[in-house]
Amino acid sequence: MKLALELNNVTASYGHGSILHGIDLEVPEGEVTALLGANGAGKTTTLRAICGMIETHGEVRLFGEDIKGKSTEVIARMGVAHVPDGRGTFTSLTVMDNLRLGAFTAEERGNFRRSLDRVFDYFPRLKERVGQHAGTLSGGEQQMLAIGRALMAEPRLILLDEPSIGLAPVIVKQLFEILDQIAGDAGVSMLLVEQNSNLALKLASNAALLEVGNLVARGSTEELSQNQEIARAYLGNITSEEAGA
Amino acid sequence: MTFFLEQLIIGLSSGGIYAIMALALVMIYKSTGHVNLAQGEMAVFSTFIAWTLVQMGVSIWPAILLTVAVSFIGAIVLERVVIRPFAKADDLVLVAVFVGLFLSVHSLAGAIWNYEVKPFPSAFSDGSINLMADLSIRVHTLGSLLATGAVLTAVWFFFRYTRLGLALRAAADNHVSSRLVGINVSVMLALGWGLAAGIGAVAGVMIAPVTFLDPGMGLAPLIFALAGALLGGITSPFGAALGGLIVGVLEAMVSAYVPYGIEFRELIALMLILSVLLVRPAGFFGEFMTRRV
Repeated sequence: MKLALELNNVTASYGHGSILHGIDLEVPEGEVTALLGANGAGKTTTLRAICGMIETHGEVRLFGEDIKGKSTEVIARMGVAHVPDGRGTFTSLTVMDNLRLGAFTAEERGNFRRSLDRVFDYFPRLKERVGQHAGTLSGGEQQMLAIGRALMAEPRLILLDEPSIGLAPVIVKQLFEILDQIAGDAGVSMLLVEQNSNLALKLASNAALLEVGNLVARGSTEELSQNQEIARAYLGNITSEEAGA
Repeated sequence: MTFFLEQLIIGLSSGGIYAIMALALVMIYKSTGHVNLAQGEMAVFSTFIAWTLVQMGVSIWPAILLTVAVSFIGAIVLERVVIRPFAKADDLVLVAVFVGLFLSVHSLAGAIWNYEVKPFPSAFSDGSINLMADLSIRVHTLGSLLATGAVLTAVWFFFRYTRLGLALRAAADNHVSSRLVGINVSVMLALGWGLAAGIGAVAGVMIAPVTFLDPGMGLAPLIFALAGALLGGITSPFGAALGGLIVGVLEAMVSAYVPYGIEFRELIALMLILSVLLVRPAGFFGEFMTRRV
């Protein structure tokens, strides 16, 4: 099994507060890995650590290459598209400019038109809003834009930080259907952080569980949801039958 | 009527200078949240460089181009050495840094070139052009208006249509997201300083033939530019440029029509700043900056 991403004994802290206490994590290539856990468990911090946004110790390997000490922008150029916590759209810029920025690192590959068509296929709504400022979009549209921007980079690995947050259930459902299509695209790997573990487990083939800065379990989604104790404590009210279905 | 038109053109001409100065302020404010109080002094310093080049026998246009280039590079170095170490400091610390920068640049200009007022050659030919029967305008006034207009157009084009311009706008909008799409934000911040100083240099060499050159020359234009930027909105490049033009025209009208107006035109600018802050703090085209923590 080839790994898109591998974390070995990664610790991370903000100033004096240590958030991750040495976690190991694997994201197999071409698959969706869910990173689950309660509020404050360190999920967002894990994504930030991967992208070099905070001080980190331990080993982070991206497509086999050690990326220790690399800056966020260099990691982005290596094919990582991070849809951050809070979506991170450029609010004073138009939808089109946001998408152009997504392709900032991919420009030399010259597939801009094709990527744009693909994003508009997934999110026809964005096509209607190309000239609008991102700050005037609804929450769902902003999330679509954030994911669309990530796709424009033709990424090899997409990091998604709680795409469902703050959205109406019907929008979340649509969004996850599209994410499922994106995940089906050959080659792209995903690390999905989600509080809504039901949703995440449907999309993911394997998952890891964080608890206050420690990784307490990992494995295929089936394995994890068959473990009654884990299922009850962390995966909400999901039962093994539902997860297996 | 002729007199009014004359004042209007003079106002637009100096307004153009305030407009590009205001634009320089906006550039740094949008990307860092700081008002570069030393922008005017930096422009004066640049103008002294141009003056020195002219004294050395370089003709005026090459001297201006060289000055813009030197200012661009000098400001990048300044940002790296003086401003960057305070990137995470409190706002008040930064105000102190900018005041310090203001005084240092001011005194350095005084130390190198002394405080004697010097004439500065116009980049355009002397004399006047007859626009209408009895309306003649100095060539420099019109030339300056055209030059600042060209700068505004070029800057607009650069930000609107180039990849680098887009990256600069992105960096001004959101540092974190810019890094996540692969933009080197620290390079963009330095570039922003370089551009602002280059624009400031143009403002300096356009205003110096009118006001004459001395180390104190930068303060009044900075106040007018700041008034313009606040009027239009310090987060809006378009608003700030428009605000600069309006302030220029207002200055000309007050000087021409109000008794003793020439004496208290700076007061008018300050009053304008105050009233905008009271009535519409974000300016007419601006938006409130939301601070990310």
